[in-house]
Amino acid sequence: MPRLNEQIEIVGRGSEAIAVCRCGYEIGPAAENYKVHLLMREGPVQNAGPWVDPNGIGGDRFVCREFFCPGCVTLLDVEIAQRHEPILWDVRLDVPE
Amino acid sequence: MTDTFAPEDLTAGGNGALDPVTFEILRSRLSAINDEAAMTMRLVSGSPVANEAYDMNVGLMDADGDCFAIGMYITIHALALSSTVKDIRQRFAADDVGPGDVFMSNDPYVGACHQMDVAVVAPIFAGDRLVAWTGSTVHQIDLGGPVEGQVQLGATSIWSEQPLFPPIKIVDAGELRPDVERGYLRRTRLPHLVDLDLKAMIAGCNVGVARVQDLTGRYGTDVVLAAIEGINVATAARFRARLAELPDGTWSHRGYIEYDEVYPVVVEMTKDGDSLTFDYTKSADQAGAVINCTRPACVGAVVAAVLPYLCYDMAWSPAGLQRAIEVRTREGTVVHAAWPAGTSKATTTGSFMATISAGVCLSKLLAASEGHLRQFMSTWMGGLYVEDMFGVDQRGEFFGAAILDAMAGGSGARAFADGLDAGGFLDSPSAIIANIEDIEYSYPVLYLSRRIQPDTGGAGKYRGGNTLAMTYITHDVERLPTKILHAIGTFQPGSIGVAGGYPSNTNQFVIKRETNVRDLLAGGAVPDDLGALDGELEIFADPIVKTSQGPDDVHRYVAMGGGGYLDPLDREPELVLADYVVGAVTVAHASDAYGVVIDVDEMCVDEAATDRRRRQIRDERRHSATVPGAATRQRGST
Repeated sequence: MPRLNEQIEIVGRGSEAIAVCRCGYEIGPAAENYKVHLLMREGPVQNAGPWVDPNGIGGDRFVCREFFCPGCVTLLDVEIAQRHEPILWDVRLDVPE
Repeated sequence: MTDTFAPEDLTAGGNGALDPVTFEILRSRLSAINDEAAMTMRLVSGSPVANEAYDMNVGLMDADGDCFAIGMYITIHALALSSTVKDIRQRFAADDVGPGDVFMSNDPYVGACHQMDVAVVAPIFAGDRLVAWTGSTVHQIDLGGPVEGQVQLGATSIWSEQPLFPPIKIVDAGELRPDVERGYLRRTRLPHLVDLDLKAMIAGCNVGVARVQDLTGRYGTDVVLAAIEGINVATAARFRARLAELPDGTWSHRGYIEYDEVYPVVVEMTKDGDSLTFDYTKSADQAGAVINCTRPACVGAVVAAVLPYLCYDMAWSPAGLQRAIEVRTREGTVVHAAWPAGTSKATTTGSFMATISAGVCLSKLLAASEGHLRQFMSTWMGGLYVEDMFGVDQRGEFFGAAILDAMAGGSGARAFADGLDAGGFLDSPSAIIANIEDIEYSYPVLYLSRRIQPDTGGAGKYRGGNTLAMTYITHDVERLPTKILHAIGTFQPGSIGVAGGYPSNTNQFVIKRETNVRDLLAGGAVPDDLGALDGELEIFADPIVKTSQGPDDVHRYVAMGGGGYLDPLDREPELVLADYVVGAVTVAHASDAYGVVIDVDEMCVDEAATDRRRRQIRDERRHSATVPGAATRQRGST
């Protein structure tokens, strides 16, 4: 069964395929960016860890986006981006027809 | 490194000139020749950059310049040597390339990764037949230009960076050309050191030439040539077979270079059957100077990422790999500079981030494969800090140095274990850092500390490797008049986590001015905590800083760790406790990131409190997160 990683599998084929969290929660169509169907918490880049720009020299141009499964709230991805940038579609698997 | 040669690989290439046993003997011998050439170069060179930090490499190329065997040092250099040879083949008449010749170049638009990585290459003849090339490269500490060292701060184009020299013949039929040597050394502030490195690179080439000629004499030229092609064929076959075992799809990443503005390095990696395409065309337009890399460096950067992620058990033949890899770039970008854009810091900016971005995609490709998950690694140190320093040393001599301690970054988490603390960096399987005593002997500095910094690896079920923090003062000199501190990954952590792992820390460098450190030392203390020192803390906001250091100033920097893997709340609490015991994680981080409450008196996990803390964190997640808004829902990558 195709999978994005240990947390997210692809179930089904072709246009019917969906991304599914390990908890069984159906995230969304496999043909779409899985992240836009997750819960997201966007905050300062310092949310990524205690040693991430602790002096704030980068100002607020970068953000930390944490993506959680709406079902089990497992953390499924952490994205560092400039504030104005859209959510990155980082994994697009070819789904079997 | 092992290579599991299969006879069918060679057969697949239609090469019947040698049997598998002879092939394996020759393949191993050619690899050993690279090792000997590299060792020779290290021993001849007096540069701590080469001999203590291994910022160098060697390579063997076929007659056309395709690199079939690479040394186990900075991998991106191999492609620079290859590009340099190809340029020579195009621009020099055949009868201008003869036995005993050696060429040198530092031109990034030809092949050098940046001006400081001088490429020295030599043709290898068997009789009058050109059969191969050997090459050596060592990072140079100074090659002229308005600013000391590599980073030409303030440059607006390549015209205000170090002087370029496209391939020129430095040795003609075995005779060193003193006019060329003099012209080369005239431009550097460190002629003795640079001259020694030049001789070291020539010595490395001499070893390569002599040993390959020994092989052709013993086995015959046709057999050696068949082995060279066999290496490429076997590597290509193995690499394609590996790709075929991995899932198809497209992986994307945005890495960042901080400079006068933020420059994204964007890559889309498409894996289709047994081929791999890296598309960097959406990367930022180039800067005027300093941070760009040229296309040869970008291609080398991709190979530098592919080798450790996918080729850990096969011969490292870049030419073989390139048969299955396509790299797409757009001229005029930060990873494909258009003349006359400057490139003086390319290897720690443009090409470095090209490697990291490709590596993130490759790590996620492996994460998507059940069969190859064990080879998964999250992001290694995603931004390198370097300090160039110049001045008069404790012996009264002018000196220049590149302090490369930050190469001991953290490695990325694996799918079954943590990343390695101070594990090195992705570009070199042999990365090391100099001993403190060697640095203190060579340069007028005194280390107060160099140690693993807890909590710097990205949190995860498996955490990224922690990195180092260093603190030092001047020693036996009035002051260090010129310090150029430079890094990427100062605003944001380049070592991204994967599948719910957090990224590492950021690079940080500060100086506390006019402290009482000497008084404390005189009293027997070795102060390390800047907070415990009097003085004024200077925090540098720019990613490149030119400054100086006085006798009471304390310089501290923290390098970059590796990225984590999977949700930290899934980490076994006992592993968090073990980290606390060895100083890899603090009590606060154990609670904040892992939801593990440590009873420091009993030195155990408070299981009930941990259960409550993890429930609390999950509740916070549920209540603080929302479905993304329209502005951030745009699909696709930028």
